[in-house]
Amino acid sequence: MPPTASNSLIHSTEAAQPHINNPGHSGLLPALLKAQKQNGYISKPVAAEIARALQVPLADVYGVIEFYALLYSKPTAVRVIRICGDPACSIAGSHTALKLCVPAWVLALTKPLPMAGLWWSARHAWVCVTRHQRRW
Amino acid sequence: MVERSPCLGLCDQAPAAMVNDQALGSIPVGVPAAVIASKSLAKPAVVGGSLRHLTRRCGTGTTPVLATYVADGGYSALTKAIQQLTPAGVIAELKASGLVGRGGAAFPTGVKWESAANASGAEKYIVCNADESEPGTFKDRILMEDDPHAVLEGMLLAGYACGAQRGYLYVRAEYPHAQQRLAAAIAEAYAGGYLGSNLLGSKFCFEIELRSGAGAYICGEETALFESIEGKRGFPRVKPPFPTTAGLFGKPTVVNNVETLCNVPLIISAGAAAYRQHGTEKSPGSKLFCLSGDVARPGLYEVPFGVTLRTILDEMAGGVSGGTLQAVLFGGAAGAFATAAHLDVRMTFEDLRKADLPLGSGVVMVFNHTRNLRTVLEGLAHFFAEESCGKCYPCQLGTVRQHEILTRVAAGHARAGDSQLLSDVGWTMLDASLCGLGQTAATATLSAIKLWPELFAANGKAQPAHTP
Ligand SMILES: Cc1cc2nc3c(=O)[nH]c(=O)nc-3n(C[C@H](O)[C@H](O)[C@H](O)COP(=O)(O)O)c2cc1C
Ligand code: SF4
Ligand code: FES
Repeated sequence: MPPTASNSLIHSTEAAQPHINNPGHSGLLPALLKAQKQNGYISKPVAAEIARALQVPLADVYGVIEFYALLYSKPTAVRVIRICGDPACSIAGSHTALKLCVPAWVLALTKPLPMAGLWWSARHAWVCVTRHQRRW
Repeated sequence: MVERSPCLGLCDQAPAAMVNDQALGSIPVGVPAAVIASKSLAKPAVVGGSLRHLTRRCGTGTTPVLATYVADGGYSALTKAIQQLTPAGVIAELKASGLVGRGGAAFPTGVKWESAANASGAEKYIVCNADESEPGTFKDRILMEDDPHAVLEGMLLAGYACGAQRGYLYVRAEYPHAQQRLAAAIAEAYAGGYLGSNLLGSKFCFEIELRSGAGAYICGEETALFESIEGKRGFPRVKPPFPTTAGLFGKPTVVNNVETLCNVPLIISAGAAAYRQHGTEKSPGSKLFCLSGDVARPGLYEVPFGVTLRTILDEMAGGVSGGTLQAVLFGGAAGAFATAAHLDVRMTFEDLRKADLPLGSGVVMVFNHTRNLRTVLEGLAHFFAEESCGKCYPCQLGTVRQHEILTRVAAGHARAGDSQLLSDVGWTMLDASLCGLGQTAATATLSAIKLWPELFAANGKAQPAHTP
């Protein structure tokens, strides 16, 4: 049972910023970030609660969630690893790091690999799948 | 769960990653991601250079608390402004200093403040743009992490000069560490009487609210940033009206980059004349450069305007590592490529303009002779295709088209005419896009076409592959 957002979720402010009160549309992004911090993602009931409390159309709430890469409307893994794929990191090997995890099991299924490679891919796939366990 | 991320502002510690809110630097490659997650925390950055004004408190591994900051002369500029200068006096000093924005557009800061100060209406805002997402840039992160009070003091001075009562500090979500430091500094400043009402016994009142982004490069564009603070999707607005007349919540707004604002306390404390002793006549003061890629000592370097690229690269950052210099991506993903022929260009706005190099956000990303530039270009195109907000067609379609073509070029399947196609797409985006993202999405590609036409030739010989 996902927790629902209470009014306190929206109107209570961070301890470090007692001077802030964010009613209305302008409080949407902070509320979504806060809800996500608590639950790992923004569930339907939470989104609806935020829309109601801030008096923002639900469609706008989803519009915002979909726009921002770091807002998730689906459950995420407990641990999200984000590896930089831009040039300074890619020339330092980040693409190797990226390839090694996610597509390892896909690779194992789709590409005819030598036996040793297959074994490694299967092993990595297992590691990945266990790490992918989601909190439903 | 593993995701590919755009630049995390940790380019000096490549390859970088984040595990939830934890920044990791120099992650091991060739091991499963599960291992990556276990260790390799990001280290304090290397901070160097021949002039340590902006960065004088940076790179020590500690963040000055309020008392330390004040003991080191912090908030003396604010005190001086409130007690000795009128708001117009602050603006006059700033104009005399010749400070221009460091966020990429190089707009004169004093002029911007003056037009906001003169705008009608009692409600005005100061926005600090700390959305730093330009690939290769990490200067603002280091300033915020190592000297957060200086950022607040710059915003306070802007508020005083422009007659604003409220400031927003918009930090990208990928900088949780900087956000924590800033939140702590804001709390300290409220407790210490540097934020709030009737500051330092005057009538001046100023509030600062810290806001986090949520992963969108486009929100660094000033009007998209306003939309984001207003709780909307980050689509840029059509300009005019300009922010100084109708910005955040439709009110006159000054938006400045972190580095720009950090210059302001220095100027007010020392005076414009002293500030102008460094740098050149047309480019006064100092500039931060972010060195990454194939250099011996990647890091943040502060230099007076006027030194050459060679000085920064060879003398300060220890020269090219792993081979000889092939190319420098200068100014960021929205920048242009430079080669060894550009090493003696002086780092000033006027010289760079002549050399067709945009200073951008001070990115110097170095590639040695073993690197495959086609792959680098494909990576940049991927970035723009991902980050285009899709509001206008030239950029929405152009960035994807550019990525498609560069993907096949990088795979060694370039077709005849691809370089012409890239130029067409590029110039269309440059001319017809609504905002700076589309207008600069092809500058790196266009500069590469000019420098190395052979890269785009059909069945051109493949360059050496990546050496990890
Ligand atoms: C796509 C795009 C992204 C931008 N990102 C940033 C950014 O991350 N930080 C920044 O200070 N300015 C960024 N800018 C520039 C801002 O729009 C604006 O010009 C700047 O914040 C003004 O501050 P300044 O006058 O101090 O330079 C970006 C512009 C565009 C078009
Ligand atoms: S140029 Fe690109 S990023 Fe800018 S408004 Fe158009 S689609 Fe959006
Ligand atoms: S952190 Fe990877 S390129 Fe900046």
